[in-house]
Amino acid sequence: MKILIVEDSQTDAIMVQFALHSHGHDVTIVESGELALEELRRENYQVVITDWELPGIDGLDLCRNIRNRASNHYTYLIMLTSRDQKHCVIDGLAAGADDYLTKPFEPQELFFRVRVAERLLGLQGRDVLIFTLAKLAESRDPETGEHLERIREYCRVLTNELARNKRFESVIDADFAEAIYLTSPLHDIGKVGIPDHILQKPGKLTNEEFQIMKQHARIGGETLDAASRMNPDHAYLLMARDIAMTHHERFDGTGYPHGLKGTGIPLCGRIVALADTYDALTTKRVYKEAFSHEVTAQIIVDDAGSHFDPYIVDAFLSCGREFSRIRDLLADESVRSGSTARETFSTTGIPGINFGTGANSQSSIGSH
Amino acid sequence: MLENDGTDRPITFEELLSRCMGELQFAQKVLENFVSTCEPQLEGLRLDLENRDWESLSRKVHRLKGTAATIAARPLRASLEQLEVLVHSDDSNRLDKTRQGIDLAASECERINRYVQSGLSISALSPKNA
Repeated sequence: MKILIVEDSQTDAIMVQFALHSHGHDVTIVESGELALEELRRENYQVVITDWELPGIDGLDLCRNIRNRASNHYTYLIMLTSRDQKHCVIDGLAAGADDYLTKPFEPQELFFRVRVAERLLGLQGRDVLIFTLAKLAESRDPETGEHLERIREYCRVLTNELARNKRFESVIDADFAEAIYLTSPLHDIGKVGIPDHILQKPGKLTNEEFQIMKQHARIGGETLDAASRMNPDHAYLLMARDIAMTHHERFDGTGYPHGLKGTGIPLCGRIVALADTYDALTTKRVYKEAFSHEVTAQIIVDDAGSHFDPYIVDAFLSCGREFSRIRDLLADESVRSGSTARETFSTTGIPGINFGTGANSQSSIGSH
Repeated sequence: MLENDGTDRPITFEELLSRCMGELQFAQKVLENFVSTCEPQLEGLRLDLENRDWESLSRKVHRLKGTAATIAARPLRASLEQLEVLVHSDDSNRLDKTRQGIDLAASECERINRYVQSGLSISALSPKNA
């Protein structure tokens, strides 16, 4: 692992370096908080081990700074200090440190503490792996761009909004919110089982081809179901399974693959259905321009109770501005103006859109 | 007058060696590094005292105390611990006592220096570690 040591005592620094270097870690030493922040801007470090007393900004402020900066990865912070009073430990942890060690330290103890960091960061690696798998599956699909990034953001926003509704308070907790953010990008993972000549067909699919395309929900759902049975401790796999299996179900029971109806469709599937459709409507396809947020919102409202759960539509309306902001922020070519992407099965294949035609028609709007 | 804890040896070398995972040469290198940084650190303490910069003095004493603990320099650590308390106190003779405390720390550093230069650390353990 790449580890940054922030220590102004040269002797202490070489001791820490020795303890970690001997276990194969890639260690860099800086002498002050300012230099640490500069180094962190330049390089990604997985772990920072910092003293409390430093010239300039101290270890506490360094922790706060690291926690407040925008970063796409988590930095594990260990305070290593000779301050051993209880209140100091509390202050250190409150400032954002993940662990607290006092000097003099035992190298073995430091090594094992760093191994804990490695394990925890490995969980973050899990998240990256899941997203990478989703990306890999999407890479065969010509109409993707930043689709997965937007989907999980839409899901996050919708989930947070729904959490305010008493009706959902027993279902939506922090674990649910984390899991839907993590697993919503896997909604179309089953497309790996769809032949290229169908998935990448530039024109409208035949009815037979469409029936094959619809199998992606079942393929994804069953694959993730098998994975969750093999790994029962990984609850997020259950949500991934439900999302993959049910994101094409419709609230009125005319969706696929099972024709589930109303709340018989798992909440995560109902959320992703709306997010996925919003994204499909607000991106350009060969057969249509990207719809504005306003037009899309009207389409979604019109489909409340038929395609979508009305409560989720209400939540969507409450956070519509946030949807629009995400769309702008994560805009790719398909959102901005025109993609060269080709039409795929999920679309109408015609310039106009015929909504609400159910599971047996490829004219159901939006997503695949 | 501040006193150290009465331990004869300036460094409890077995403790340091254990902290260096039995690497004798590395332990020696750590001590040499410490010795090379002692003088500027003591200078810093004296300068802060001269400027009555108690806050900076306290930070530096604290840092040196931490390093003393790391290298298993128990007498030095003990004297710095007392010095740290003194720096934070409202003792009417704080200035003089702090000066004495720094002198005591300096003499401890000198003892460590002699210990390292004489190769005592290595000779004490060399039959076992050679």
